[in-house]
Amino acid sequence: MTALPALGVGIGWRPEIDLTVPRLPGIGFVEVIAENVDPAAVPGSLAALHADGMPVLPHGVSLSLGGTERLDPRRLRRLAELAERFGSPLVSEHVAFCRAGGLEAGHLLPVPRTREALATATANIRAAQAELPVPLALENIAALVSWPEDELTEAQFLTELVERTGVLLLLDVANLYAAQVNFGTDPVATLDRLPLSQVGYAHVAGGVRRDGLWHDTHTHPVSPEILDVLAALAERTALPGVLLERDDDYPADAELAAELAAIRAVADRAAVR
Amino acid sequence: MPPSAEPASAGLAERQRDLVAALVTGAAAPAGVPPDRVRAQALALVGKRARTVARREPGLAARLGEEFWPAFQRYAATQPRPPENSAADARAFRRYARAGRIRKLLRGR
Repeated sequence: MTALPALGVGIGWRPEIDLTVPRLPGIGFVEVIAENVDPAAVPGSLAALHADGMPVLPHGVSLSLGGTERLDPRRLRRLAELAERFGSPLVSEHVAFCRAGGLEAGHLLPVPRTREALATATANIRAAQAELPVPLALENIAALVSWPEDELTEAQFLTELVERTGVLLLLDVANLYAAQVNFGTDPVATLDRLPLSQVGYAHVAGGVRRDGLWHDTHTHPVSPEILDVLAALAERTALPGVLLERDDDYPADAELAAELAAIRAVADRAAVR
Repeated sequence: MPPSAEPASAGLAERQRDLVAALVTGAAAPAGVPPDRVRAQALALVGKRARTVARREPGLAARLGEEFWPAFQRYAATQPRPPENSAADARAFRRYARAGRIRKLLRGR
């Protein structure tokens, strides 16, 4: 396997923080939400950032790779065109479904972890890979509901997808923590059962515990428990990159920089152990 | 309401449809899926829609103030998110806010 590109510490590029991102120290890459960036009309601030050498990774949130409906060719083409526009080393999506029976959830929902769902997701991933010019990485989602028919653990399901399709992983450590709070799944045990050499990069984000459930809000600071999962991941593999996701309630630039520095410190400290 | 399908016999497409229907139309939770979790997920979805619409319609959100969230919850209870995109959701909520009792509230301010 070819070596994965070294990305460093990154942040989710959003129009609301487009002037902040270039000022943050030590940013190695950014991610853009594919649905929000038109490859034919890239916002000027993003185009300038990219022209200055910043790697830009498209991140899709609505392909519904775990769904039973045919992949939307427009959504797939958008990912491919963004990867070409930015010369991205990889693109990412989720192990999730977003729509069914003509209804749009507007969100990433967990697939039942059954053999049937595994076959469906495998076929969709292969169809996506055939249209994409660069490798695809898949992210574990944060869920509030789980299915009684689950036959596989999340680690088993992701591992099967990797083995069947060669897909990379975008490991969201906050979502592993969410699985711990919401379903009692030990994040470190999950890490120990995943093919970590396939991790393209990691996501980190803040959330909030409400009525005993973890909500992956991206609007709260990253809590120590989530940094602990990041440390456990970085101890186990040479992590090519780690990216902070922030949405809506953007903190002051200094606060954002401090949060990124904390993430960098955890990833670096763990890596040299 | 009776369970919509048996998990063992219902196919993947049906199960996924049942969950989305429960989340966006208020149908019963899919068989075997805890209803309290479905409610929590549905509320989180409406919150996400509301934040997106508020971002697209900052003037309307500001005029409604504290009424925005309850008004959006009432709107979302009758109207699933339009399949097109969040801009369509924002337009539909604007129409709802104009048409309903909210109009009086706006006039009164």
